[in-house]
Amino acid sequence: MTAVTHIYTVRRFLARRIAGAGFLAASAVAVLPLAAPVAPARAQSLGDVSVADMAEGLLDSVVNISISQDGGPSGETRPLPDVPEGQPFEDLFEDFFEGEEGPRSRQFSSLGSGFIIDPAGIIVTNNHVIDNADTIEVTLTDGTTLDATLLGVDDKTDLAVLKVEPDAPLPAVRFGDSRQVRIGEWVLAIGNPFGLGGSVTLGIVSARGRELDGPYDNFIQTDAAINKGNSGGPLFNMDGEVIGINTAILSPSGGSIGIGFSVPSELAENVIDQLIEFGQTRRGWIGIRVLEVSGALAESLGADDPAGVAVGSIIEGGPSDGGPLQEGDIILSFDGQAIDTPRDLPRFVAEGRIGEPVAVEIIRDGERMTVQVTPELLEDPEGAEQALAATDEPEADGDVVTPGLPVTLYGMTLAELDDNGRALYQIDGGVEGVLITEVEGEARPPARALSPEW
Amino acid sequence: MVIAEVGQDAVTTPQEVRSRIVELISEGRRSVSVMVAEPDGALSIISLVLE
Repeated sequence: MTAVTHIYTVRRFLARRIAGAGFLAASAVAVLPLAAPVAPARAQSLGDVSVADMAEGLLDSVVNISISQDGGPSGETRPLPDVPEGQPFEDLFEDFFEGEEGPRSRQFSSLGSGFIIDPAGIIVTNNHVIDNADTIEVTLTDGTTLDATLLGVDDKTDLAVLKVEPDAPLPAVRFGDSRQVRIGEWVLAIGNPFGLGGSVTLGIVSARGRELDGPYDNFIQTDAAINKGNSGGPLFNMDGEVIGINTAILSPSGGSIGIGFSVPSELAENVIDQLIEFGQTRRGWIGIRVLEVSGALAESLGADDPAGVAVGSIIEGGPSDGGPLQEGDIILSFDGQAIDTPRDLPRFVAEGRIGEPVAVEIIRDGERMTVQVTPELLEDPEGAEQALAATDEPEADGDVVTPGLPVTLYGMTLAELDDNGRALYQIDGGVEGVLITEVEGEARPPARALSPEW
Repeated sequence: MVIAEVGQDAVTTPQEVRSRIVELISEGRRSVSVMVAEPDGALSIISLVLE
């Protein structure tokens, strides 16, 4: 009952505001002929700058997504959708599900939003919207309900692609380039907050490149109102192109406080293409671990300023093993995109195409150079997690690389000092450490002074 | 010849040597003192300049 009262309050308030706006618009029109006789085409009334025309054309491309789950025996709580841990929506979902009445054997819950990207019925939403669903239903703005099949999901970017079989072609929207989006630009969100149905909200891009907890996070932050149920809905630029997928909010209360996060199209588009084509993501990797470049590290590696990331180590057997990158190289850019933090690189690599050489600008021994690196398909997503995460703790190396394998460093080949090594080099039993088994001919002078024959 | 310590930390695996050197680089060190042991156990310290 309180909710109803609340809605009435908001409606009365809105009515007042709209009346006020109309009055303003009228006075502006009255003044216009006197003030601007030479520029008659300039829009001056509030009506001229509204987003109504744009919203009207886009609303039909945004759909409501419901899922059903098998409830199991009565009395047992239904499984929660597996929202990635730490996502701001996590709490919302728990509230939502625990607030539901007792479980029925099959129940459709209105969970989120999606948008049509292909008239043949391809729909994009968030993974957390449809996670753990037994069946998925898509409701169009005209009320038509269609059964959807899942083409693929990617939990790292929280995206999912659905397919419906419509009778007639559906109104699709197209992606824009989120790289061109500037902070302060107007954006429009459409979604299905609290199951109310298609709702349009307006805001601006508050920030870009926001990272939450995913390895590839690069969210657009917006103050357009985004609430529970908006998940999976599109964020449009003023050209009506999708520049983001509304995925998460930061909120102590559960309602919008003007901090919403949207997966940018630059990341989403490639993921979606792969989900459509392969049913899964095929991320590239280049097989290195990277370190942040501090001022001192930059200096020691011969760079002028601490831009870029340093190659901490090359993952054995990875794409860069035997490739052009070396430990200690500072990577400044990847495919023309400047790299500022260790998190940038995995994202750029993952966004790139597998098997196509990419120009990587590096500093090695104080000299700038460009090398060609070819990302390869990352077969093992779990290993990738470790490999792609920035290694703040160099000790982490031991977890991934099998201890005891030889390492080449500064022209020396190092091996574990085992019984064989002791015997071969006649090393006293009291000596502990790491065996130098080989020194390259052109190694730098201090290293040359070390030799396995000693 | 054996590397016993890198930057005053004992090392036992090749990975530790590399990790320790990378760690020192990231702290801004331009050279690392490496304690090396000869097969008979005689120790000496060599400064490895990191470029």
